[in-house]
Amino acid sequence: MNRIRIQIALGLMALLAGAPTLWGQNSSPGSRRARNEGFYRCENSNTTGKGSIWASVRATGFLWDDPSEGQISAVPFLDAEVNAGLLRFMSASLKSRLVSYFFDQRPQFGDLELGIKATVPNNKDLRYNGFALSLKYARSFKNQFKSIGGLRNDKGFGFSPEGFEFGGNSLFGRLMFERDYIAQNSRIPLKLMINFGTRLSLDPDFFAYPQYSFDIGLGYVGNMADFFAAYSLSGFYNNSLRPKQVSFELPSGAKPVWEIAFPENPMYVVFGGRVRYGTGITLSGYVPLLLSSNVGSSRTKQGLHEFYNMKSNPDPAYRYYEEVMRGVTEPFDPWYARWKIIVELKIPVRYRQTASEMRRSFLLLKMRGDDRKIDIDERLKKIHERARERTKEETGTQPEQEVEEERLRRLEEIRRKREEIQKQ
Amino acid sequence: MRFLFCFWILVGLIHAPLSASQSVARGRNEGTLSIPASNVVGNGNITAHTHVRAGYGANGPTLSPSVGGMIGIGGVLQAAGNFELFSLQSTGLGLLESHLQATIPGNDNFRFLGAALRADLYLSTALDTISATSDAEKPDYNPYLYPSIIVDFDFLAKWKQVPLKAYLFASMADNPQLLHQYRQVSLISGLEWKMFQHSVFADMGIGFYKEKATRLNRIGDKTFQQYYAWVQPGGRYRLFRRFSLTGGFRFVIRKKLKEQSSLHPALAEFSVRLEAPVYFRETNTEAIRSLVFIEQSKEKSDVARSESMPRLYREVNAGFAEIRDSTETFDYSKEKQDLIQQRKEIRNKMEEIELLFEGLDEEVESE
Repeated sequence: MNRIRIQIALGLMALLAGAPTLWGQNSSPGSRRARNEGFYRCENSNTTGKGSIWASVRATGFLWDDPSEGQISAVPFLDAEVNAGLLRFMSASLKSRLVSYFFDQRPQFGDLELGIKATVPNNKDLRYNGFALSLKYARSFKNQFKSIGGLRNDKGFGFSPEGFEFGGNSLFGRLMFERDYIAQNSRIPLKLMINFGTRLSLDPDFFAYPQYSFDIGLGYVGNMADFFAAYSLSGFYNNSLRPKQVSFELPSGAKPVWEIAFPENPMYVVFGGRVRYGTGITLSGYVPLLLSSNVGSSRTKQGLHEFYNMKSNPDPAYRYYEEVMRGVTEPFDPWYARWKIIVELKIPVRYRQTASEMRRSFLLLKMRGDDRKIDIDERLKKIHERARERTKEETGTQPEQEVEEERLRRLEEIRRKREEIQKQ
Repeated sequence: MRFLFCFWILVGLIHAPLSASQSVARGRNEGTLSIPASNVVGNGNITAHTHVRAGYGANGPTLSPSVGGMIGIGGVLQAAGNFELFSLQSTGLGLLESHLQATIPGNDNFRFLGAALRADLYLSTALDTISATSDAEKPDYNPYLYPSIIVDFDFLAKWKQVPLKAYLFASMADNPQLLHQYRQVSLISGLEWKMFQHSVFADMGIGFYKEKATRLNRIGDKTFQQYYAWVQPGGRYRLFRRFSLTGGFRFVIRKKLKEQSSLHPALAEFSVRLEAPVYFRETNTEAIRSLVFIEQSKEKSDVARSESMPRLYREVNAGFAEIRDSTETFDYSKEKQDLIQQRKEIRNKMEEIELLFEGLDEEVESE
């Protein structure tokens, strides 16, 4: 069974990796770009271009093993997402984990997530600083999953190898900031993204356990390929410096108390890259590596033995005494997946060019090649100044319709020249 | 496994016509079996491979088939991945590894000295039950990230009569599945006689091992107390001018192992690797290499017809002759001038676009 799962995961990844070669080899890479490309979980502050629709498929795999629950487990997930630009500054998304944890040797349907994202409406052109806000509603359908030490209930809440899972309905809000360095200096095609999010369960039993998420990523965004490194953290809100105490009823009827210190929250450093193909198809690969570390009691055989001994005979001379005195009844260990591997394929179902990404492609192409003596920024600045002056003069004498016609004529010419360059 | 094997073969065959016009689909990063070249694959090029290793050591027979691929990014970078489908000796699952290789500038020229820095990420599938934070009740599968260096010398770039390439490779992983137990240093050198399609090579390497402090061995080794050295002669044979079949036989020539908790290296190992270019565009480096061979073949064509020459050599020269026929009109200096002219035209057009950008601040709707 395990080998079948690995074959499924590997087959999906291979299909995703091989797919771009089937399409889009003739057009120029980088000519079609999505405006909202992020760094794995770290989201971009821009929205999908108005009228554009992008679909993506993501395969995730990792190894995680709890000997008490069986043999070595290869865990394959499959996610699908559709993003559509509603307005110039607003987009909607529908995401689903189609294949989640296997239960009883069958894959479970994971969840469904519906979201809306809005950005400050100054995204007509490349912007140095960008802000956005997103709100998502998620509905989880999985009730059974691999859990750390069996710490999960029947409603689908609990600690999985990926972190804390929310069962039932939940809301997820996120504030995004992005600094796009190319907007200020075309020699620096870098992007910095910072996200801060909050997740709230709509189940009354879990109102007391809202979670925050923090992501920061820095990456090179090129014409054909992107690379990035990101840091990702999620944890329970905690109004004290002490570890957060969590308690909920398990299927057995017991209601143990766990303590989760800050370093025990799931935190990953993520390395990733993206390759862009002619028709806009992108193929991305991400590898998150776990940074979390254990504090206090652990779930190793020796750790459990020492903790339970301490619980039955509290003695201040030995470790874990303070934990037991604080009311902790079960050791917690950040026994999350140490590494994951993710492959994502993104396809433009309906594509509308946006001015900002057209400008980006232009600047990146301009900077490519051997002649690097031209200061494009300085020249663009001068051109803008000249254009502003000329527009002032022209609008004084020309009717508005003529100005619009002139603008469309220029636009058509840019498109024509661009096609000529691509053909060459 | 059969499904995957068939998949990669199918992918290779589907994409075969894409580069049918190429004379020989020779990747820029082709090295020996144990050392990749310092060059990275062409921008956007994709290569898939399958690799089978079978050996015998103190722990009995070993077998590890793997599949993987690589992609060239931006002309100076290459991302590669490899997944070992299963391993007879470990828990049954094989290693997952990925490498990001960055080479020094001049990658697209036919260079004599090349060097590359590689980030090696090993996602171990070996059950770690001995490190400080794990045991049999709470096993871990750890990731390891290490750097490695590749240096190579392409003698053909200096002396047109010597198609010899020398490689040096240093990394911090000799057997990645033992990284949870040992600190490792691996040094490999290789020589390759690189012909138009095929090549022969010999690698020689040494792996040093230092046991880490674990729950079972709280002190660990103070120095690299164990090592083993090996040699691996082999060759590359190109099928249908496109698929590359590389094979080699590795055997241990010298070893120093501890008496207690010693290593169990494979004493002899046979490896076969099949590479298929999935998406291939010829690079300048390899085009120049081909031109050098074509030039040489003019001088050697008479010799090539001689019945006394080995069959392989005759085949190589027949290949040169075929290419020469198809590239008779090729004029390198003219091509270069044309390229310079085209570049100038593109530059002029871009400057025109710059001017046309004036006042453009509306979203462009096209297509």
